[in-house]
Amino acid sequence: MNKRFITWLLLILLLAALTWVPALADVIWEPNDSFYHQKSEDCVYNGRSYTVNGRNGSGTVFKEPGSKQTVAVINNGNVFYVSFTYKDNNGDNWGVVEFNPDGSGNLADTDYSTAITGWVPMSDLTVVYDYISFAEDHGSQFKPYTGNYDTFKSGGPVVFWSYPGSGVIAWEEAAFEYDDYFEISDTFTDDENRLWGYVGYYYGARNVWVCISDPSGEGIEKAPPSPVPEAATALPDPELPAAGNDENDAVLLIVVIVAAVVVITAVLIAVFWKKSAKKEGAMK
Amino acid sequence: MAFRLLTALGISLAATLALELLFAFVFRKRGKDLILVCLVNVLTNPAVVLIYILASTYTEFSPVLLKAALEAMAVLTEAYYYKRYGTCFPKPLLFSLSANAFSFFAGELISLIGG
Repeated sequence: MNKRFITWLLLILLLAALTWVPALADVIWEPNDSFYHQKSEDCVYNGRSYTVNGRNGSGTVFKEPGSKQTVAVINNGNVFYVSFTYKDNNGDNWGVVEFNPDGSGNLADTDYSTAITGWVPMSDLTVVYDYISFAEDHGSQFKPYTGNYDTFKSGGPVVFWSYPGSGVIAWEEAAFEYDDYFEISDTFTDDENRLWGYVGYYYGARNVWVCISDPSGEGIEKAPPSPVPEAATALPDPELPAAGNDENDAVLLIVVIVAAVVVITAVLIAVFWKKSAKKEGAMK
Repeated sequence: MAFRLLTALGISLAATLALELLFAFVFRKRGKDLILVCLVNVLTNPAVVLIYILASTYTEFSPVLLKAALEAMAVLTEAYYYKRYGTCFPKPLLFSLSANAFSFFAGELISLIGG
């Protein structure tokens, strides 16, 4: 018997080891959200910023996709960072957000030690123009970089932009030290004939652009960082769930049923196994 | 939420009963002991799954710690019943721990394979 137990326990440990492999392989930062933890395998990485643009002048953050429990209502114009999205059974997409509300319908600076999480219908959000949007609009004009990085070897300042013409500085180096890790994959020539280079990753900076013609960015004007979303039409959202008690009643009923199953089963065991024990005792 | 709860409770109970009865059968539990294994799981599994889903949805408890605490309570409860009412459970705690570990990890593996 002991040998068999050891065999089974080894098998169990092997199963345990198999289940832990995906956890070890996962290095992407994940939101501290209970629904996300339950459904992480069904969630898709997004990693983009979105402007709240709900039809009724605000966007509602729910406890989880499809839930009626409201976490917060945030005014249009605020910007959320969506780390992952989830598609529910109705085909609707939801984005998980981690944020600090300021109490007046707007977002405060995010403090991840106190931030709350929730899910926003993606239909209430408009993407903030970013390097992906830029690639969607201009990707056909991209060409592979074939240069030798000469303009980056002088040790002068280098500015990294969110995308060409954005005017948004993602990161800057006062005295850039060129090394082999600095790699430009694609180039883009703007209307002013400036050559830009796309850098996928460089010492923590991701998906940024440098101006090869003007690395220090001295002559580059600051353009509006993102298109302002069109004003939302103030229509009542017919799909916005109203606060109702039906769902709560159903959950309460399930709790009562489970409690009843527990009590009835405990009574059944106590009655029938007690009788059985008495019978066995009498037979002895 | 209610539908998700009912589905989770049903699937979890069915899978647990199948796995733990198989485990008990392999370890030569027969007759009333096998029925006891079945009833003890009916006693603990729906309660554990219900508390886990509600707590992880409405509270900020760590899902991992929550699951560990609930599984530990289930193991102790089942061991108590095997010790008190079972006829062939020489090591009730070890049996309960092994049966629960088997069904838990087999369930995780099935979830992984099923995607």
